[in-house]
Amino acid sequence: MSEKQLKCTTEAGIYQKNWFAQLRKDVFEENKPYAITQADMPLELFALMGLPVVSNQWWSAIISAKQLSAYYLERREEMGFHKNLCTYCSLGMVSTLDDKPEVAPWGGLPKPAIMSARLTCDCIQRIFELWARSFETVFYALDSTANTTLPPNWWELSRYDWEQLYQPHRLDFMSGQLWGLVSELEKISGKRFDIDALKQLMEGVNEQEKYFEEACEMIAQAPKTPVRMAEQITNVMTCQWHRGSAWAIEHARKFRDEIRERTANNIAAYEGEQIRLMWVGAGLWHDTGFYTAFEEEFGAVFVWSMYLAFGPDGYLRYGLEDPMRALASRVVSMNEQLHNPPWANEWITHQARKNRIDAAIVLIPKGTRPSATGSYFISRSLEDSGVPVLELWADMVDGRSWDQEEMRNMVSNFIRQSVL
Amino acid sequence: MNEAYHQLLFHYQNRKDTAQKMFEAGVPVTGYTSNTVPVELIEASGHYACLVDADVDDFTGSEQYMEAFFDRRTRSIFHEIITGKWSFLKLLIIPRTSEAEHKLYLYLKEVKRLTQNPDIPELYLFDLLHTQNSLSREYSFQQFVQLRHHLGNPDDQALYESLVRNNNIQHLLNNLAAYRHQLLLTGVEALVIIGALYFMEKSEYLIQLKKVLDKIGSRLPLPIKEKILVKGYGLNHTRFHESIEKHGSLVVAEDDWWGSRAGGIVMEESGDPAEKIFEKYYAHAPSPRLFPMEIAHSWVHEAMKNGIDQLVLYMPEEDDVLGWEAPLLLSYFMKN
Repeated sequence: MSEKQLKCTTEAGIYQKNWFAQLRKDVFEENKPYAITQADMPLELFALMGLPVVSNQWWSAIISAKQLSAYYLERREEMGFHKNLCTYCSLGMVSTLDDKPEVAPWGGLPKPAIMSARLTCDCIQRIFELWARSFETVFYALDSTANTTLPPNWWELSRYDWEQLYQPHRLDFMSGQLWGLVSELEKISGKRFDIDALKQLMEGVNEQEKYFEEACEMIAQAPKTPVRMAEQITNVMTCQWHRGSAWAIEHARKFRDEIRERTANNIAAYEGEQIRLMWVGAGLWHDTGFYTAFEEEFGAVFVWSMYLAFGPDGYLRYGLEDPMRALASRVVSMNEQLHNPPWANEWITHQARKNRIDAAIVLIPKGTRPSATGSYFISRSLEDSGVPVLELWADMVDGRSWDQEEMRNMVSNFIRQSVL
Repeated sequence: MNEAYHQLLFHYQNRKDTAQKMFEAGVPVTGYTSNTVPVELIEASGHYACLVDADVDDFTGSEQYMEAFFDRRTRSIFHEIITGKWSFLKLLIIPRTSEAEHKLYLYLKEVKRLTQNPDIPELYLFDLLHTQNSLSREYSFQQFVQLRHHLGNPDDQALYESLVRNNNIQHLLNNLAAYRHQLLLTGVEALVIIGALYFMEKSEYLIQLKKVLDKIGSRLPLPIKEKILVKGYGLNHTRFHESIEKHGSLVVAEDDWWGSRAGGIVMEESGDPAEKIFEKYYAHAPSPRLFPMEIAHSWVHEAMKNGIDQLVLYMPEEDDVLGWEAPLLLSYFMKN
């Protein structure tokens, strides 16, 4: 991402880079424990137990942004893994197996005290198990149950009616797993878990997400978006990795305030905005310049991605009498909400209406199939509601299959033919 | 091969035949999509249990919903269900045994919601987990109890009878496994004989299986170059085995529910039949989600000790499971 229009975007980038530098120092020089987990894990528990977390997806995005994905995917094949295996979640594992600190971003990941993942797709248990073996560390897996009642309007129910929405038997099971994880974390950290502290942290996360909700509303209602999508992602995801912390709450507030100020002063991210674009799927980490490439010629601005909007809709929880159960409800269906019918298509279409979206680009990452499923239902639902859709068959981290010029031409033609 | 083999071959190739005849005869037919659905519960409830399987080339009518990167079997089943080829099913049970099956359930449910397609039968997700720990076991057992309830709560006697019937089949399949190691039949023949299990009425299958085993038992060993062990998920066809065996090798076992692991295990016949049946599916059924790897690989590790010359992995283009294990499995095989 080149131009940063918000002060807090620069601050978020610096914070995360410093955080990682401190993490490496703490781990290498002081032997402090840390964890590697999937992004959809209950990071709150790790934070409470004083264990910093590196998210696998964040690390993949870093590898990709540093243009290293081609190198690692080729190394992966040399190691005997076939080329059609998933890309997004495996880059981190390969960077560890490759064991070349001089190549890996920032010298690579040190050995974690624990690795943990929800077993959503079938490949993640394998990736994490192999990765943990190579680090000679613990892998704590959370099994993933399936919702069988699927009210399409989940985002209207998830804040207060989460007990029924996510089904009591599933919450019993996930809570049990989370208590098991807590026991592991107590062993590693030597600290005792405090349920009241979890409640307080959950309240902090709620406060943070409410700021994001206000930001979402302002972006949706402003005549022209006050903040580009890429800047939204940097701010929201840095906060989400540290969610509920004093820094994250304060940063979310600053983000909201800057947007409020820009909106009040009619400052647009791109003054010539004519077309509001929606990006459906994970970020295109190897070519973030793509997101501003259609502004000058068409006035087409990416105003929406799932990252900011999912903050309030996916994370807010009220009724924290049993904070562990509320936390269980936050993580138990994250995959279904973002990638599976009917929840993904209904939510994204609702967001398109709310944000006055003119056209949507749907990323279908063939190389990361669990993220690609449900795409046709999403496209169909958007089109049925009057939003033209371009499906881009490309990968969020594998730049090898990405022909920058061809992809830009494809979007330009789509705008000319279906939007203008 | 004898008439019995041709009977088995017919049903292996005509996978809906028995189910349709049962339906026409007024027997309720319950479909299921893979090996982790306890067929004993279905049979004890008085339904005919039929594995739903399909192999389709033209996906017109379903390709607008399910992306082409899904594995061929899942796409084919989805296609046939929504285009009405299985509309005679009273119930379709889909287990949470692979990510593809979970999505199959969600996609079918969504098509039904969006289009009110009357050809899609009642859907039931059997949320059996495959992590091996006390929490997963308890959750899965409750799911098993719930499925039993959904199927009309068949009583213990009916469960016991079904358990014994399936045990009888398993005993014979164990004999078949021994014959394979004695080189008395090809892997292709074995897949046909085993696979017919899923598409026939059980007592009829038992009769034909006995006959075919009698015949095989009197054969001389085949002259072969090497004994092959295959590991893969979803070997619902013989093409892979044919490609191996045409060069003179012989597939003597498969770590897959379409092959050597089809019948599961011989269950204990004393005690609570429900618990014994549950145990078979929770602890002993192969599944892409079985975790940890040490448990998931235990069967193939044992099988490697039986004088195997080559381990061959079945990984179709869309594989996103076995490919992760391939370097580890091949290295284990080379070392042992």
